[in-house]
Amino acid sequence: MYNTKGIDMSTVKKAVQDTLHADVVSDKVRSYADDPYFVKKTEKAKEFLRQHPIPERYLKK
Amino acid sequence: MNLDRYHYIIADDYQKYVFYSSGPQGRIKKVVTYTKLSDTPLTYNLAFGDENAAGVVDDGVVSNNQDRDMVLATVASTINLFCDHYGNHFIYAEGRTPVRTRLYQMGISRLWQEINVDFQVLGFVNGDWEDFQHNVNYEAFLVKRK
Repeated sequence: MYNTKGIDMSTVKKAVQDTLHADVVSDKVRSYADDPYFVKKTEKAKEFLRQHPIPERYLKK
Repeated sequence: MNLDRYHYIIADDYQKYVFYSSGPQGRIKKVVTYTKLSDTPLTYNLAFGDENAAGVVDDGVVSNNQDRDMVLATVASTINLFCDHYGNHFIYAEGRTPVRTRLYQMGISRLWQEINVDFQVLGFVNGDWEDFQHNVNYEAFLVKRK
């Protein structure tokens, strides 16, 4: 995709990613919500905490 | 915490963070995500992995980029930013394998003086949660910003 000045924005985006000199907030970050790796990790974590809940002694702190 | 870390791209919901590890193995894209696990108590899952050029995420590979503490410091930094937006709640983390979880444990130990200033860390071992101690092989961790 080119902007109005004829600059290839995909190249610009890659350049930004190659030289991260500051933290950047972006609405272009992939969701990952349906990524099999993260879905599996979340389900595994839920099951682990269901079996081994956080003890009350730590919840009162 | 005041450790050297990588800069990252933050999703506008502050639940996803992307950064690039840089070292002898080249640039490796790292992704950190936070997902709610439960409402009572409010608990989130921290998941972390490498994303390859095809967009496949995994944490099964030891990347050997000689920057493990910088990567860990970067992940810890995302916890701070996440808590700034979602509050100081428990965050659960474990590796995909016991070996990977052990690597996390060693990393926490190495950076303990810095981590302990800002975070309460619990480890799960022998069927129970306890305050983090060095040289204990935990199965999982819970982190909460103080």
